[in-house]
Amino acid sequence: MKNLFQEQFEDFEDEPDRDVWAAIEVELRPKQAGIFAYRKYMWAAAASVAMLFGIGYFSIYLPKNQAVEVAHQAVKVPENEPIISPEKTEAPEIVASETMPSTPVQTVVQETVSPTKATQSVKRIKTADGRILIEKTETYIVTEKKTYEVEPETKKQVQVAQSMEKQPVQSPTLVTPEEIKPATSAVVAAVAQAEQKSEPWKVYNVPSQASNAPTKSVKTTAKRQGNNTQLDLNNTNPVQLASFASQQLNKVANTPVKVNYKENKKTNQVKYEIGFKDFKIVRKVGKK
Amino acid sequence: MQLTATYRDEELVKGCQNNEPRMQQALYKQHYRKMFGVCLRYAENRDDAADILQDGFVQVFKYIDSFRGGSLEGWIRRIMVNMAIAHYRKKARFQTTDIETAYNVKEDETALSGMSSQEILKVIQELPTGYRTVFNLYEIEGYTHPEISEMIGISVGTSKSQLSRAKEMLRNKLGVATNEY
Repeated sequence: MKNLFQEQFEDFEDEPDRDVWAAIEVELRPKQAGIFAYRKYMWAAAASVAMLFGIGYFSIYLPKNQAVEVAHQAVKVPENEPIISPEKTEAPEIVASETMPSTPVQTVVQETVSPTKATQSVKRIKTADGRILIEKTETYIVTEKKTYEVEPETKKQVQVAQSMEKQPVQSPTLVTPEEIKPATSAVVAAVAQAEQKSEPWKVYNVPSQASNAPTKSVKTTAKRQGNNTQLDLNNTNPVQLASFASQQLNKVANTPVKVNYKENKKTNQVKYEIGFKDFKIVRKVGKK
Repeated sequence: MQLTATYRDEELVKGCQNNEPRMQQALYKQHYRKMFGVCLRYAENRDDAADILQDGFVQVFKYIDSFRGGSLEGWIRRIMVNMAIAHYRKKARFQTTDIETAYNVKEDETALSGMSSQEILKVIQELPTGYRTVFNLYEIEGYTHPEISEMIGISVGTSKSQLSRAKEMLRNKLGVATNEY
């Protein structure tokens, strides 16, 4: 039996069902064969590489630019915007007497807080001809914290307290109650009438060229010189609004403020509008 | 696959040692059909046999520098057998049977008469992996039981009992097969 099996399979041959040599070549020369074998994945690989470069750019390069942008603002703004400048501050507390609605309110409105920090780096670059170039980079991170407290109605005054954290307090920019009163009292009086039907306030950016006539606008959050002014206007009552208006008046004391109260008899809709230097807040009450 | 010019073993070995793709392909073309026949005897099916053939030739080209003359076909064949053993080592469940209890099977050569290699191969492939491996190594390759026990990692007694059981199963299968013809 042994010899018979051996004889039977001595010259036995057969053909594989698949191209085994192609697979062997891939194993022997993975670089050459692999490129062609995986050509269909090359686009995906290229896209992945491009995406990685993109992520690297946005995560490393952009943050630096944004920091520089803020630094520029910090340098430019102080004349009109003392709060933004790390060297100047504004009044820690401003008190204005106002006639308030009957409902007692105790609210606190806070704005963005983060520490002020300035860094400087010097980079020396040696040129081909032996000269040494000095590249100086200064980065300012501008921060501010503002807290506005509104006392209960019984005190019948709007108390705006503004505090700067980690910054020296200097002489305040004074705003008299007479300057604030026309604006805030008009708003408070108008809004108080429709307070039972609260409608959301909307904030619109106003182009700087048309700061006195805030007609064309874009719906967005309030922005001032690159800093987000965060105020939940949808939940703002008249007292808060007056406080907000006072605060804005304080910031832009030399800028006219436009307050509109329009009533559309056809639509039975009342529109309250407070225009500031570079933005306005609008609230519509009633049915169309 | 078209057969190209036939080279002498020395030329093939030298070309492969120089890592020449053309000579590697020539060596493969000259031997792959016969080696696939070897792989078929150890494999359960043709697909597994192709896998063994592929791995075996990769080893051939990888270790061609260690070829020290003699029969190139015999050297490649041994690599294929070793690869087949490695391929099925994990799957193989060599049943331990004492040498005393091993079957003393009477060989019936008449059972193979009139059967083609493909028919016999089919019956061999139906054997359990351990039986098939020992049977191939002993009956066809000509290894001794001590050699088989070392190659596979089993005792000599187990190798003998595996062979006995393989023969018995083959006799029964071939007998049935013979009766069907």
